[in-house]
Amino acid sequence: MADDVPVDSGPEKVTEASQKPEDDSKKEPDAQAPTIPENQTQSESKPQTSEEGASAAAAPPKKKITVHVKTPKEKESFEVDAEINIKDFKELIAPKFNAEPEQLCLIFAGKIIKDADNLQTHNIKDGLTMHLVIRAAPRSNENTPQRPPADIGATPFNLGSLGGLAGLDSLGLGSTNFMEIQNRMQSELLSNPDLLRSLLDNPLVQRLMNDPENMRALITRNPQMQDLMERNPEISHMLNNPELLRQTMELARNPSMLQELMRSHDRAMSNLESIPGGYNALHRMYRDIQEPMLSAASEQFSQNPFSGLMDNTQINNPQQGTENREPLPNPWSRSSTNPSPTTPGRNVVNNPPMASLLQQMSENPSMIQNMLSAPYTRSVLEALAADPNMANSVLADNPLLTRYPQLQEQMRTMMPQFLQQLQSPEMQNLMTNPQALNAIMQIQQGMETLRQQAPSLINTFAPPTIPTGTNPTTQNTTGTTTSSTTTSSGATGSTTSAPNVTPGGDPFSEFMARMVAGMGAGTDQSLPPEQRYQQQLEQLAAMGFLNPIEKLLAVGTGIESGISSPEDFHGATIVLYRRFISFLVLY
Amino acid sequence: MSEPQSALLLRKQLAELNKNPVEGFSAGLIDDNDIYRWEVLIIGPPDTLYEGGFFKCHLYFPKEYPLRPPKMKFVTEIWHPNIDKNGDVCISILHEPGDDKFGYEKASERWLPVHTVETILISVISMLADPNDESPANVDAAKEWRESYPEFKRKVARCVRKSQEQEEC
Repeated sequence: MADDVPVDSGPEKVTEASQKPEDDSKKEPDAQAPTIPENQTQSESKPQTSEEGASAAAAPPKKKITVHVKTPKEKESFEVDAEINIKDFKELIAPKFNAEPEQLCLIFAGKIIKDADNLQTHNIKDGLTMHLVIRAAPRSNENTPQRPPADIGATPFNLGSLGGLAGLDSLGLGSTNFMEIQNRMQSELLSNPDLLRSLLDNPLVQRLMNDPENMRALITRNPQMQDLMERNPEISHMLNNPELLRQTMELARNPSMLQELMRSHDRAMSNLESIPGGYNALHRMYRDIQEPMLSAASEQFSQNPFSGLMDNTQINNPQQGTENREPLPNPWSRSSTNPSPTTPGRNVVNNPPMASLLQQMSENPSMIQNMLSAPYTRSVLEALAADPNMANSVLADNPLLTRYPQLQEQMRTMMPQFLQQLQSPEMQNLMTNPQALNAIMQIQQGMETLRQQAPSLINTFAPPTIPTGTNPTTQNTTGTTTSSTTTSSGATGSTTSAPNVTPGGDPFSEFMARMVAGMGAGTDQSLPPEQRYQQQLEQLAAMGFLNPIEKLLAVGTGIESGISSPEDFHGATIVLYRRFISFLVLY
Repeated sequence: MSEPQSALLLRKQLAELNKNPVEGFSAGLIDDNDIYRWEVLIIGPPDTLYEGGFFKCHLYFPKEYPLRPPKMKFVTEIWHPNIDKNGDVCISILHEPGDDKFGYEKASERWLPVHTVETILISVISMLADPNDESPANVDAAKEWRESYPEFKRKVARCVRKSQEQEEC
């Protein structure tokens, strides 16, 4: 410590400047003084008493003392003004420990020394030693090495339930408040933490959040959340308290508020604390609810293939973050992950986001209504409709579509009608009609069954040409292309007002027409209708057309006469289905 | 006027601790005029569940010190098998010397006049890192520590966080 060069603090310089020049010369002997242990009281004067006495008349001399600061690893000495403010002192010593002043925590005589105090308040005299604890940096991405992303999928909420805090601490990230943890999690799980915040600030999301019922539904549908709730019954209890949930979401949305609550002992906090158990409830809430919820939400956001859209066009749609996070599942394609034949038709519904979205939409029409009626959505749609370039850029930036240039091209041409359609009241009525949505769900399940039970049928009915020119062989091998093309073209094909629908642009109606025609022409007329049409009947039953089939069987007529024209079929349900799919494509 | 030996001894220890503090804790007086009541801040030992926490405790010395042990009490809420729910520390070296009521401890494990604030605190800090669940003061904590460690960790983490807020600097 003899070699230590005294460091001057800002305020110290100020006081010295105000002193007489003699003080500067006096500084020399002073600087070496610290090495000599002085068992002196504060009132004891320096050796240069006479010199000092002259200047004392104008400005009282500032007494210098040497204090030592000790961390687990090192010990440093500082020569400072005896009355130095702790805040200034921290600023003075921070560079020596490669830390920010805010990270420092000084401890002396069993007490933590607060910024507002000064050395004298704590009777810290010359030669004494303080403890220093350096806390984790407030922003991990600046000062601490980035950890590998947490494997949230494997151990969803170990972070919260298994003492994750201590775990973080042991990794050298000694967390001090919740904001730090939140920041850390966000930076780990999202490359762009602001994304989450901006999403949370979105009026749409806020509206969703302000409806506790919706929030509850959203949260309970999340398999991870279900898991969590099983483990922590208190959470499900909290979810049943809409007011509490609403407050939690409020906190999650407002970081400054959260910080305020967590960091300061203001009146609000002490009020809460004075409520019996209020303090504990607050803490439980942060750890058990918000933390896991953030991680769950963050994970979903980060996996959303459409998230790229938001950076460019500022379309912040709640649906895309919370539920529909995967490319549209393809009910027609022969996917590589075929389920076992004993569970037919579970492929599509097994797809959790799809199934839960459908279910939610059918059970919760008000949510869709809210979404569609929100001015924000409208303005986005209008903007898209008004400016084709914007829509084009959306398409160009969509990672799903960039993989299929022809699909992208096709969507581009169809965009205006599509948007028009989306804004039509008819469409919005559909979206808010639970029965219609149920029907759509049934159709989708049915199509899946059909695909599994009779793949050859699908191939037979596959349209020979597609407007984009994709030839049939590619259709059979690249399932995704086929289905996406089908859906997108189907979406526009159903727009009756669309002037430029290409003749072959509606593969689905074509498919239905072929199916009906095939049934009419290709079967043996000598068999009874039940046998003759058995396969088709099964398929239709699986598609949800139970009543028509009963009716058909009763009268013993062919299916082709029951479904007299493909137009009927469309009119009833297929239009709904295609529109629904097109809706999904956009979001 | 002359101070009793106990006061002189404690004053000497305090001066030494202020000048050359020992790693892991910081000691002072609750009231500067009462040398028998100490205030100690334990810095949560690194690489333990208590890392990052600031745990305040009080030491109450009898006038007979060092012949009789002080009592130690955690003021900060802490969850540990050997600290009861009132914060009283149950550690063999703080137990009165002489006959052991329960027959657990040897005389050498109990209070000895050689113990100082420093040796007491070092024992307590090592106890934080390594609980002794044979004679638990907090039975619930000991049971959790043995049987449902994750829950134990969670509770400790809660205490650590709370201690950070209370002792904000």
